[in-house]
Amino acid sequence: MMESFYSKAGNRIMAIAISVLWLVVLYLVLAVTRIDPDQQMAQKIFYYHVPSAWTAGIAFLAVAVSGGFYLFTQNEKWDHLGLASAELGTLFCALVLITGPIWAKPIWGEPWSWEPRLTTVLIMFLIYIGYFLLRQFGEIGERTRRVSAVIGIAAFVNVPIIYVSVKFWSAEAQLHPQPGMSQQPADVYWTFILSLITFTLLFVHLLRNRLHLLKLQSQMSRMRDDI
Amino acid sequence: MTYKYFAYFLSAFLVIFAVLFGWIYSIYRREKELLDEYRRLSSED
Repeated sequence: MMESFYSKAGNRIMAIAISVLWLVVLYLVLAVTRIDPDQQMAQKIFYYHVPSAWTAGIAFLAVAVSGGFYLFTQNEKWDHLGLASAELGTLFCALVLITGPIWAKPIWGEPWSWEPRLTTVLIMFLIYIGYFLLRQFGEIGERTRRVSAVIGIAAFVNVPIIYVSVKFWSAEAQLHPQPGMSQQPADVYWTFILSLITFTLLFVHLLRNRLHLLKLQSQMSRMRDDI
Repeated sequence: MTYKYFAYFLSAFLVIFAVLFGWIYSIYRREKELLDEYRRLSSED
């Protein structure tokens, strides 16, 4: 029996809990956290920009892990997990690439700079555009799924490079802020942590939602074939 | 000046909200279409 994702009470409760957390984070960001004297309200984009990047990193890790399992087991559920994670990772990566320039415009005076962190994130995004082109236009079947799994594993190499890019290249090449979160005041630190938790829960919820849809699509495809 | 910085924050927030809401809505629409088709095919059996 096929049923809607939100027909289950647990999924509805999760959606409500994430919405409440989202509002709490917004309240803390607007009314509780201090205002940076130089960047003012623009600095608060950080509470959404960094968790988006964190979520993209988790999603790309899930793509690599599920790709590995798929290559070993050839089980369709790992391919579904890889595809759903890749879509969400790219979505959050796009949010990073949009909110970053919105912050940079008033602070740097220009929305984009070809410095290491920004460039490596853009490369990651473009790798996943290639991944989706393969999934969309490659032959339907086992071969495309296997090549996608390999791309997902290979692409994950870029995640640690993005993370260390602010230290890996020389200081003259750096423009991206490198705040040490442990030295931040409590209001900034805990709001940031709560935002990270909210984004992580949102990712898990959206991933389960997307996997449910992929399962429905597979069931419908088999049903059409039977008819 | 403060309002200008707030506008940048608001823009970033609204972009994130719109993208995530758009994603959730698109999944909901696709799921609804599939379930409608499933009910139609089931009733034809």
